[in-house]
Amino acid sequence: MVTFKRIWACFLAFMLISVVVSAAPPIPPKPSEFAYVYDYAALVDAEDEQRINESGAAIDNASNAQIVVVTVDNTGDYPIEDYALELLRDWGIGDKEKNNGVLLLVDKQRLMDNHSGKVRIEVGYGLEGAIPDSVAGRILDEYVLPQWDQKAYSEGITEGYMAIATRVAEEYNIDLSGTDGYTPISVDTDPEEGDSSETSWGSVIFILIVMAFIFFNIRSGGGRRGRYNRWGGPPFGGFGGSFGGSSGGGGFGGGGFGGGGGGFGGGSSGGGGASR
Amino acid sequence: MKRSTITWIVVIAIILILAIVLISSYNNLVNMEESVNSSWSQVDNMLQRRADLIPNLVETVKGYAAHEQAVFDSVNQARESLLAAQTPGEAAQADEALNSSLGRLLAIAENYPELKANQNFIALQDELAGTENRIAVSRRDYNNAVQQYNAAIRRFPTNIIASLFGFEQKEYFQAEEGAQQVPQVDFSE
Repeated sequence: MVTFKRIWACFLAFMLISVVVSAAPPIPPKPSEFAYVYDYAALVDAEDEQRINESGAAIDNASNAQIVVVTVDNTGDYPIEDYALELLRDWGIGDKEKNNGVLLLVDKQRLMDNHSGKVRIEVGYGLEGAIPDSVAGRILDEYVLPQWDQKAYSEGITEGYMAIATRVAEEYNIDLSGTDGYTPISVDTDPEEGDSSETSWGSVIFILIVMAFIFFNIRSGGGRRGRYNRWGGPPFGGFGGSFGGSSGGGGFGGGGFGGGGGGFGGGSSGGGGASR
Repeated sequence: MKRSTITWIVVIAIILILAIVLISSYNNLVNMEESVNSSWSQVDNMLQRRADLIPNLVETVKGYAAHEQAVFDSVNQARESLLAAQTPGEAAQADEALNSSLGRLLAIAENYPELKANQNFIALQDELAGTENRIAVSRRDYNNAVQQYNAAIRRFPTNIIASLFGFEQKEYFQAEEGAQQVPQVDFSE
């Protein structure tokens, strides 16, 4: 009987051994509190963080699409593509059925050293039509990197976020004009029309539209604050010790969620997007 | 009398348990095989997409560097053998060959600042890089699925069921392994 038990135990152990053993990038553990900014490397200032959270929440509420910014001190020598994929899949950014998550990942170390692989826009399966790789690349080239060249890191991240948000909002026909922190940033889609004269006309029109929106927001946005009460509370809640893995990433904002907010939806990605 | 009743109950119980084990592990194998198939179609889609992007890229580079015909030819040949590949091993090998000729094509671009600044070229390069990344991702997913499936059909007691119902080992998407099983693809012809 004892031998039988032993054989049975061996058999069970054999069945349980996981056959897939592959080294995964050392991503931060999935946060228990949901937000649209996880600024582990302290690159985003409080005001921008609030704008991102407001815009992200408006899109999430309307479509379940989740656009999340994560900044890390480094990616542990892993390519940013692998790191971003692992993070998006492990956390489950975006809806499980629609796979409509987008991750804007920044590697602070490579950013400061100005190496390639410092930033990636990782796009879930469901949004690959709205943000094809070429558009993701253009967002980085036109809105993120120029700001970073001026050392305006928070602004670059925020502009990149708004450009992604604009794309996603167009995809789902979401009207974000009533959202306080949101500034529309449209990306020129057709690369073949990248002719210089057309580009300058396009940018003139674009600037006019942006100014019109800003004007509109200043005039009508004031009274709407109360709508976003759930984002109220202290802007620097701080997650405290919940992220043991990433030391030195102080200053997490967005701690003041009043509950009721979404969680990670369980979305996945097939590696779409672009990196710089 | 009482004793034989107990024997019957025991026999029926054993048969029931065996049937349940058989059915559940058979279904399990079917699920695993399906997941291998579906993840292969992901890889296949991405390889196809990569092959579709290449003519555009070649045309764009041609506009600036028309005399680099040898490189264009090698890219086109590698692309054709990728499209002609039948098995995962063949496809992986053709994909590797395409990597090296594409590398040479993109190296040419380094010598032409106007080409590098061309919006169309930048967009194509992003699409291509994204597709390559997707190939890497779908390849990993596929190989994981194959590993689980292959391990399952060799493991006792599922191997009995696997051989009973004709479940066969699946091929990894891996160039080295493909090289052992398929004849060398000749790009020089």
